[in-house]
Amino acid sequence: MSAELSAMALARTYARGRGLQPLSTTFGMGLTVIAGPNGAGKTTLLRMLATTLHPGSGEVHWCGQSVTRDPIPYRRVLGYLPQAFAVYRSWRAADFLTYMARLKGLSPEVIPSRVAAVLRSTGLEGRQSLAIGTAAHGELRRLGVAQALLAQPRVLILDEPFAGLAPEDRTSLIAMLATYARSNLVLLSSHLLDGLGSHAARLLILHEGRCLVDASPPDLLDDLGGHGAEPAPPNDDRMLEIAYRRVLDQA
Amino acid sequence: MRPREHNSRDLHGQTVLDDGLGLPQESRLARTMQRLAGVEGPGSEPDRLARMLAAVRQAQDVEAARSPAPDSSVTGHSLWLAVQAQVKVVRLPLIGAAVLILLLGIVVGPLWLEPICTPLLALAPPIAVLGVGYAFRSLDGGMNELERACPVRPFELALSRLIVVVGCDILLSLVLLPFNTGYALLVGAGPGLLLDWLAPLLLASGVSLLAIQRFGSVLAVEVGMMIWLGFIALHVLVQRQVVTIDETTGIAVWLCSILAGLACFAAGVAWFNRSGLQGARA
Amino acid sequence: MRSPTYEGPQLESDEELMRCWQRGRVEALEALVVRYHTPIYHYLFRLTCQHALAEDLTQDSFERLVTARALYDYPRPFRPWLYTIATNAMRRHFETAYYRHTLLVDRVESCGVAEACDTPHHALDLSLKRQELLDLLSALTPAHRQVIVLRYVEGFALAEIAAIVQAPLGTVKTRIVRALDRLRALPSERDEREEAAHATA
Repeated sequence: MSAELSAMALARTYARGRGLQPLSTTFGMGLTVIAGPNGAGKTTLLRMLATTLHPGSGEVHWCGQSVTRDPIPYRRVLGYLPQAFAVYRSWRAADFLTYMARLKGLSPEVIPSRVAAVLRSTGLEGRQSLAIGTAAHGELRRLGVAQALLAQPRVLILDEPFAGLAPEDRTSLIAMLATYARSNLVLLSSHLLDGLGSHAARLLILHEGRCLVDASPPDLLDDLGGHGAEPAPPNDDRMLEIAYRRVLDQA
Repeated sequence: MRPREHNSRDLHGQTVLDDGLGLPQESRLARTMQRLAGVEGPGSEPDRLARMLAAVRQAQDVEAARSPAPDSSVTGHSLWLAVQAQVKVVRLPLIGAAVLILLLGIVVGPLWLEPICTPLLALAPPIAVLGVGYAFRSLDGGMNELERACPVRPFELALSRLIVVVGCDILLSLVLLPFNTGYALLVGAGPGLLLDWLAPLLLASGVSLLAIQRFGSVLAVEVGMMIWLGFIALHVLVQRQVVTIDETTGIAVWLCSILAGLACFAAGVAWFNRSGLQGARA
Repeated sequence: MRSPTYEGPQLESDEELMRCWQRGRVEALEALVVRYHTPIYHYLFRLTCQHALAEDLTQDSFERLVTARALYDYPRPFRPWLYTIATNAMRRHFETAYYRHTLLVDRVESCGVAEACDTPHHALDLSLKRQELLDLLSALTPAHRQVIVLRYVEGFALAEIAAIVQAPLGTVKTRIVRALDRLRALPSERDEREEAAHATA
């Protein structure tokens, strides 16, 4: 069975009616972007796929095995950044990453080199002594991405990884994730599609718990007549953003 | 909400039927569609059928042979890694502070604390309660979400924190026991002394562990402190002979307290494990 | 060794066979394979125009059917569900950035043609038809190809197509309209319409 993450009739309903309606789909290698406004169900979906939220119904499968019943083997290949992200304020970046590395089962000998490597990947090279209590929001967000990369996961799930990042940091992080997605499965949510169109192999647009669109960016542009008869160029982020807004407006 | 069905209508001004498109293009391309339907792939149908049947039989064998979910049993290696990780949570300066406080208590205790109570009874339980509150303070926070996604079983996480916090406190207290000038082990007052501080330590910190998962760290520490104060009060009352408890009853009370404390720890670890394995259910 | 041909229940519906298989009757699954291995293969071949790939994806589809057994809710229509599985199998194959803009190969698959034909004329006829198919389908994007084949070859209703390709109903209609427009614009199609117009004039 190939390395695929499957949502099988995955659903979750909250008391106030929001959540996610049954969704069945499979994610493979490459970058998949999950977009949608607040309350669309993006975080609910990603939390269930990351096994930190128990599904109301349905299951999550990794390589054909259910991870809902026993998530531990799957978590060994998982890297996850939640939307609500907090770290002990008294810590420094190295403390936090070392703690997460130990929980992920990395042996003590490799932890220092892995900490340095993930800090380098996320633009925080040499910032082991970054104080959490006084760090900027963008630095914390990049630190969160760094901890997700510690164990070189095959499945990387990031909930709003670009929130609060400066444009140049966003661009470099997108490029890094696109490279990582060439040989791994990367799922990320974002309410802005800027810079993602040319890298995403697939786009899911959620709205009020339903999946409105599950297509590649060129197909989405083509469906909504982005460029008339010819398929739209894949890196036309402005047109993709317009197409995305049009889908939500029509919902 | 029903999806809008007017896209085709707007683009081409045609009436859109419930299922058909009613477009002139369809009839004009009818021959094309017929050709499309007539073209099929090459290959031998019996060979393909044999291959497909073999594949589904093998897939069924694989499904049937899938091993059941592994037990959530402790693996020594992963628990040790979790303990090493928890040292980062309960930082070494905190443990150092606990050592200093207990040493200070042993030194100044005979002057100020006796004959009210032994220094260990006065100092060990609250240090353990504060340690539980500190180590488990992140249960509802963003750190908990990160920890849940790690390949460490929740009860291993809970055990590792308890080993660092409460285990360290018990170990420290045992090490410092012989230095208590009032109650040296050599004069045979050992068992009573052990019961004196071990019972409130275990009960207060065990109840705090249960309470912190339901009511948060502040309330949990308050509950633990109240239990400790209750033990202090009982000890003073017995010492001043306001309340009389014979030795057997005293030992029984203390032993029950220790057992109750251990039961609270076990329940707290089980609760932590259940909520961690199942993920958030709120 | 078990025989590759199966003579089992002929009269049970697809949905009843699925329910029987869910209850443990392995022969019910094999009956479904007998019924659908050819239609699914041809469906995938029309979308990919590659014989070997279509066979691999057909096998992949039935293997996924085995693992998804517990998810079937009787009496949900089985045929659209199976086509959804097959469509997803094909989509995953083409989902990486490299394949995202890959159109059909521009040469006719030669393997298997000679063995399937009785005469050289038959072989030539088949290869011409496949070339026509390639010309037609290569003018369409993968998303358009899917909806055209599902609509006009497999005969699914629009709502069923929307479920299979996991897109809103409006999007499916738009894709069909655009696909038809592009097919009409093909030179070969314009020539045919002109010939037909002259013949009736």
